[in-house]
Amino acid sequence: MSFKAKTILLLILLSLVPYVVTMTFLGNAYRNDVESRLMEDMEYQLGVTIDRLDQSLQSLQNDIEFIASLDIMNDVLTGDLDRRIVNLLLLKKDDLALDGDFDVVDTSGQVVASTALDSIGSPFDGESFMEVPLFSTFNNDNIGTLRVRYEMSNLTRYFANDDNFRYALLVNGERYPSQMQSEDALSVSGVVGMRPEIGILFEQNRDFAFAVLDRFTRNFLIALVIGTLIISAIAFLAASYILRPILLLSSTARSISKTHDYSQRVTVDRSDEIGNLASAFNAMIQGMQDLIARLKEEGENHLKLAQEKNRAEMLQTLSNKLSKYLSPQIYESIFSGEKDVKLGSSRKKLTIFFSDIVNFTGTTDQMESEDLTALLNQYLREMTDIALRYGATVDKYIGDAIMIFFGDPHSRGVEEDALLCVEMSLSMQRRVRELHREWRAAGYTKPFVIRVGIHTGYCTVGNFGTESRMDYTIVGSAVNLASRIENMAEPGTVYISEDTYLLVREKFASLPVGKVTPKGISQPVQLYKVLMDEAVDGVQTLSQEGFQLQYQPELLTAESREQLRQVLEKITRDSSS
Amino acid sequence: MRIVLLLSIILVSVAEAAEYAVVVARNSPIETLDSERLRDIFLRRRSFEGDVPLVPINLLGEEAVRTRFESQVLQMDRAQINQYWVTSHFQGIKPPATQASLQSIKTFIERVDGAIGYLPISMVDDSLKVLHEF
Repeated sequence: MSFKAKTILLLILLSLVPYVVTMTFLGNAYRNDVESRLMEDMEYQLGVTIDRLDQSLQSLQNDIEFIASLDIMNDVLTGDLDRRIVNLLLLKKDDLALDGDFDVVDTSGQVVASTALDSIGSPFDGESFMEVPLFSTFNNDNIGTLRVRYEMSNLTRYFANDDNFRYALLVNGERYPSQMQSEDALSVSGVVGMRPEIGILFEQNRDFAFAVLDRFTRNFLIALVIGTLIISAIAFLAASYILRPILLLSSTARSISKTHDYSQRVTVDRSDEIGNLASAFNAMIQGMQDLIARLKEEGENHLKLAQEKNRAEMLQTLSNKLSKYLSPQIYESIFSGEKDVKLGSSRKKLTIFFSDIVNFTGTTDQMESEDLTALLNQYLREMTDIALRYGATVDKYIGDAIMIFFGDPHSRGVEEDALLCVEMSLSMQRRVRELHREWRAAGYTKPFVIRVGIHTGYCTVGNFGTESRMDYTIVGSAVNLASRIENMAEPGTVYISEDTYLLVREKFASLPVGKVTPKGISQPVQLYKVLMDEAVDGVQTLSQEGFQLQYQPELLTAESREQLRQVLEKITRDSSS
Repeated sequence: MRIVLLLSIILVSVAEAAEYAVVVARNSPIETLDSERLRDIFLRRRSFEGDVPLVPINLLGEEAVRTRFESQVLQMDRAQINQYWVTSHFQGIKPPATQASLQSIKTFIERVDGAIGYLPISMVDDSLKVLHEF
């Protein structure tokens, strides 16, 4: 059931119930009133009739009492010889228009005088309706009675009967007239005061009695129906008036929820609660509109932020990935903003390191590619770890070769860079020797041997390539030289250029091992081999100012011993001479 | 009756001899009455004779017998009598009862104790006692 229907019903109930109750009460009260009035009227009429009858009887009584009191009644004593009583009675009967008879009966029961002349002289038979005793006027002796013979039914002549009103006489359970005019009649009854044995019944045709009431009832019902219709119509209009803004509100709310058009408003021109509701609704919609606008803005901001964050995360991930391809120093300096990622370069004095695996191809030919990858990766990882530990910049891996430099982006000074580089190289060599044992244990029969070349010189350092693809690296003759030095180095050794040597000679013992002439440089460059503290695979090393002796006792043959002895003899001989 | 009345009138007019008698019933305790007492009875000045109530009875109308009785016994004419009863009426004294005929007077006297009336002597028989003649 809709709210509107409920409201209408409620209004109808609220107004109709009291209306119907009041009207019904009034109608009923009127009906009861009418009925009681009718009964009162009837009782009044009955009372009038009874009074009339009573008076008539009383009058008759008075008349006969008067007659009885007359001196003439003394004639009873003479048997009414002179017919004076008879004449009087006849006169009186005529006078009263009595529809009965007077009789005077003496004490012996003989009729002395009568208006019914035939009965004179015979004993009184019949019933007296009324009688008074007769007394002689001179000695008050009872001398007889004056009686009235009367048919009770004749009393009905006092009744004014018509179609709708009817009187009936009730005597000793007999009813005159005997028939009721209608089964359905209003009736009242009473008794004649003079003669309590005489009852009077007064009936009134109910249809006739209630004709006015029925007409009233019909009009009342019509009024009730019309009133109900009017009340219903008013209730409908009132409900419509009350609900119109609510329906408008709901339709607007539906429309808003469907179209999401929050610019819609309801217009209710009322100053009551409904008007307040409408303005509150409008305010709410306004608030929602504002909120949505703000949310939209915030959402866009969030989205922007999220996108930025996403991008930042992506960049982070990317840079993390990229960092694997870059030296941490380079990576950090780029990402910390110290260096711009743009083409450009600067000139710096760096210490450049090259290493590779001696005879890598020959060593790895017989290995499975998985083993080779594992081995190579382990090697590169170990080396890189060491390099990073020393703060080196790992420039690139070229197959099995590694290119490292010190001095950019962070420099501890040229000398310190060189020292760190040499120390790192020695650490690498030591680590590789340790790895030999591990690899042998793992079943690799031909372990790697690496060689290292180091040079310190000016390089151009920076980003090279194009705007779309650039490489942070170093270029210059010093790089080439370092590479050359590495190529010339013996397996398992570290060769350094003279420039480097001059920087590290205080810390590391080195032997000059030859010269190299780089391309485009006229002067040859002296190379030095850094001496390692411990023997390498049984190789004995002995070095002093002016010489360096290296040998492997278990490999020495007689011929080589002899040759060594001759050399040593010749050296000692030459120096003594 | 008219014949009787006529005869009475004729008789009265013809002879002044006593033709009427004041009578009571044969068994009445009243034996004698002088004219004074008779007068008192019919003027209702005296109601009892001994312990017997007296019931005087008049003839109705202006019959000769009544006129004669009034003039001879009561010694009053009709005007005087009327005057008397008007006066007595205020003292609560009513005139004697009446009968319309002599026959009924006779019957009345015979039947009512203490009744006293007047009749033509011719009508007096054994049932009556004559107390006075006029």
